[in-house]
Amino acid sequence: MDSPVVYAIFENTHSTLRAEKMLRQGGLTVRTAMKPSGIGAGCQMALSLPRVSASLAASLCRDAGMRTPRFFAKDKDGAWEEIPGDGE
Amino acid sequence: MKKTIYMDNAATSHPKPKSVVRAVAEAIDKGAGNPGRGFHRQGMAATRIIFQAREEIAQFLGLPHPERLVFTGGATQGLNLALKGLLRPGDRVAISRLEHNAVIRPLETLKKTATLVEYAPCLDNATPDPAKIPDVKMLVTTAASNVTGAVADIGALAEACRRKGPLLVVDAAQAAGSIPMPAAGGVSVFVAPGHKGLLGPQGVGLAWFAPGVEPDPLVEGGTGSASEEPLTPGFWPDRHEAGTMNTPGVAGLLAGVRYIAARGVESIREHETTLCAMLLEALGNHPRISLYPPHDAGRRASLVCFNIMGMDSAGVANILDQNQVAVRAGLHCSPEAHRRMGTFPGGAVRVSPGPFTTKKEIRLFISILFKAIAG
Repeated sequence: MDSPVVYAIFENTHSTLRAEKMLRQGGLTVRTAMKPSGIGAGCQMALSLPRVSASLAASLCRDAGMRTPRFFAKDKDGAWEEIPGDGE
Repeated sequence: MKKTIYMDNAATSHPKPKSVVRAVAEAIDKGAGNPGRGFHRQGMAATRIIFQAREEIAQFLGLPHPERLVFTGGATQGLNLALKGLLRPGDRVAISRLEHNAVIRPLETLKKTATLVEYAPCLDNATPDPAKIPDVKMLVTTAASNVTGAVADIGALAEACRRKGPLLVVDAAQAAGSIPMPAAGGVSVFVAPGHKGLLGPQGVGLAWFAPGVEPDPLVEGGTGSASEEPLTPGFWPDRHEAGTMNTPGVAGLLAGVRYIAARGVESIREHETTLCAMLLEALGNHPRISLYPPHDAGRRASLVCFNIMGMDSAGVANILDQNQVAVRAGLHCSPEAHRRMGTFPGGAVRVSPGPFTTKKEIRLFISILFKAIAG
């Protein structure tokens, strides 16, 4: 079963905190989290958010002129896999 | 012991707002960790201090794309980054006649690798003439001279450079926080120290680069990001902030900027202009004192240079120091400006009021100075 939470990974802490601020202003529930081991890409800090919000988060980032983050969720075996920015 | 009349704000501002002192102390005392290096509470606290400071300070200065504002050890480091990071052998760079050694000396080094340095055509106040932008890669100018106080028209220069092509590098050491600069976001590179008009502690400054202006890093090393990569990351601000940052300094700088934002740059400018006008009037009427243009307080930064006939500038500063007045004498790290002013190599006495200087202190300073002249 898919994890209900995804991790959005940005390139650095500045982008992560900027996204946190912007996504919260956009009404999303996000929180900063340490990037889980098993996700190799990007910043050590991540944003966790409900998987259903990933698509909107990606869209808000694009609208703000930010690079779209990479999203990771657990696959059926419990391993982290990258998922598309549309959250599907 | 009498309280010192501190009139050397052009060197570093003093006193600092209490909020600055508190912010620096709290960043140390409450254990701010290493920004961007740990997800524990202390690391996150430091990371958030740096993030918030970058966002707010960029907004305060009118600089878009806050991630392109990097914190440096001071204006000198920012100018070195701009010059050494952007200029290549064979490039031509023009400078004003008022530049600080923070510009002159890196350029002297770059001359050895075939960078060509020339003086830009200047206005009467020795700032670059916006109508005569030279055909160069880069134009470097102080926003306000630390010797003559002359203020450059950054808005006109930014517009002219956009049309003619050169990158415009602005050293705002004597202007940031003290003189309204609505055109700051229109320049190519904006550099400022944290410890002067921005009222932060020493050891912190900033450099902002417009989109598309991509200097090579001056310092490389750990950034807390892309650690698996052997090369310095290409993204901002990490690319230019290798090594542990000065979190207490940045916290203090943010507090300083918040103080200025609350009081208003225009209000500080008006206050300091009033004090300079008092100085110019009193000193200008003394038969043994030489003042230097511009003579209009509204057209200069908050500083006044003068000399006393028959007295060495350092000697005057020493006498004032013995009377608990802090000023700075000499060449102020700007030899060309003194040549232009006719005060090289002896220099001049510089008195620079700040946002906390009072009219009473100005009157007292004048009284002490005139007594010293009378011997």
